[in-house]
Amino acid sequence: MDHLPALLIITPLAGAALVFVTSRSVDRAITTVTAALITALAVLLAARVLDTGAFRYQVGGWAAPVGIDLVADGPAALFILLTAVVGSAVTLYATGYFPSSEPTRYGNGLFWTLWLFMWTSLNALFLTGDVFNVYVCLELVGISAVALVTLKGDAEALRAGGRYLFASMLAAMTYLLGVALVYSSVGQLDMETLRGVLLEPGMAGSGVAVGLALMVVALVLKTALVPAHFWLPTAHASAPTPVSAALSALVVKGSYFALLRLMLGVMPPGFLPGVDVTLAALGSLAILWGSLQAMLQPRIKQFVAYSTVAQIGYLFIVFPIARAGEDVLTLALTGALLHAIAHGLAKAGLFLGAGSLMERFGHAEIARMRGAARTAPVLTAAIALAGVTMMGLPPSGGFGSKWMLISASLHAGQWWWALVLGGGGLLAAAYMFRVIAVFVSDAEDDIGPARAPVRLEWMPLALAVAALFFVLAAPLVSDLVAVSTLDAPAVMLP
Amino acid sequence: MSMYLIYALGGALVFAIGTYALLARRHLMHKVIGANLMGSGTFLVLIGLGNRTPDGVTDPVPQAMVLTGIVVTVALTALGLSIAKRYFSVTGLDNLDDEPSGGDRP
Repeated sequence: MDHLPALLIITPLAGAALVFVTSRSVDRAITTVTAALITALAVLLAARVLDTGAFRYQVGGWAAPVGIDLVADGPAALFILLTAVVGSAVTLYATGYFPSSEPTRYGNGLFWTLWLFMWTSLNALFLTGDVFNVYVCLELVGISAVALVTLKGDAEALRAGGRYLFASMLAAMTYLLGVALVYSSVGQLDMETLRGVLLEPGMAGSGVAVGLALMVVALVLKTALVPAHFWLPTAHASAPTPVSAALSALVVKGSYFALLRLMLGVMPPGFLPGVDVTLAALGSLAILWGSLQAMLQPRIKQFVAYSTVAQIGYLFIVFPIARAGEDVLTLALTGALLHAIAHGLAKAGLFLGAGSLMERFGHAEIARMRGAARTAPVLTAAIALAGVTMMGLPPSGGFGSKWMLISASLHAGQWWWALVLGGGGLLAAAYMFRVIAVFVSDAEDDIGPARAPVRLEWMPLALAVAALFFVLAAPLVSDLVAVSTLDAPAVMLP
Repeated sequence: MSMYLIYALGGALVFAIGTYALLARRHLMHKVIGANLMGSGTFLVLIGLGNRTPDGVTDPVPQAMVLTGIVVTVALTALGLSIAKRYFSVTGLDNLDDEPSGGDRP
């Protein structure tokens, strides 16, 4: 199967188009079948990459520089697999969440089309090997994500969607200006070619440096790293629950992955002095600020959204550690990707669980959800188990990733990041236990009956359990990281 | 001063004006127009680029990027305008900063 990368983009796109033109009554069936197909293709792609190594795919048979190549490497396959697993879970949850009796509620049933469009653009974003194509894919993700946030159509959703859109536009235009400056200096857009050009002596001009800096800033804004996180909590919290889960688990990982390719795959070490440490320092700040805000949020979805702000911070600590040497790079990168995936699974479970709990209580106030451990044991278990991954306790995927990042930072002689990683776990414990304490308290607040179908209760738990045992998949992650195209040669010519 | 430099500096100026409007203005229309100005500034830089080849033959890649950029900007603008319109009809507000009072306003 040589056309796997193209098929991974075409399949959800065809599904989206089909859902849009067919009758409302088959929306769910088409989306579910499409999700199953994408998952099968994602498994095949991961197997293929493990088997033959990273490969390039020429779209339409046109070679670069005329054509725009897709690049399938280990990390890309990993993120596509994560998107397939979380996406399928979200799809199944959504078939129960959106009332089939009222197809016109929630934006005239547009969820299914927009959701498959978002999936298409995410897969394209993970596979693209061209800096301009990253811009297009980011925008496609952004447009479908904003539309999904506003589905409810009430004032709160529109406000959140509007803020998200303007942050998205600011990032898009900044990124594009960066691309323009890079192209004006070196005349290349393909990432691998770009890396080769930047390694040549005398190519590190100020134009290309400013361009790359603008692109980094734009991607940081898209990934909602503190202090550019202002749009995330409202957007993720006021969206319909399946959308919240997809945004927090997958969409922020899309722009993060583009940043990873830019920082480690395109820029030679030390190309933009200080940027690695700055991003890691902001990441540490994000862990602190996001955790504190999560402790203070009275409403459950806002609480989960701020925990995302905190968890995003860990992803940025990898940059200075990864640059400390060849041997640390693989360990640090494996730790970061493991964290991204464990967080993706756990956060999707946490958001779906929180959303279901909110529906059953009929309100979003954490303080009035007392006794949920007895009245809604499955959902409480899902939230608590997802919390284990957030805290990074063994045996969760969060533990595996933190252990790798901490040993990489000690190996790199940068012990201070190990302190941040350890402290972040304590902060996560603090905000998770605040919520769990309410759930297990003796008093009982009124709660509605479990809603049918049962997957509204069990799907969050399945995701949380998957995150809990994800550390077992760590060998697979390291195997896939070993076939990455991200590790730019460590030597930089004068 | 080369032709490209005029385009690049002009583009940067337009981009800066657009950024200011997007960040500092509260009115939704101003924000949408600001984002469009940022796009136009970038397109100016790119268009100027196409003219900068040593052999005088126009480089088509920046023009292709501008075309794609315009399509994306049109889509973003349409989405922004429809959100603004819907938001105004639901809340009666023209900015996102004031708390909407919950739909009881005209």
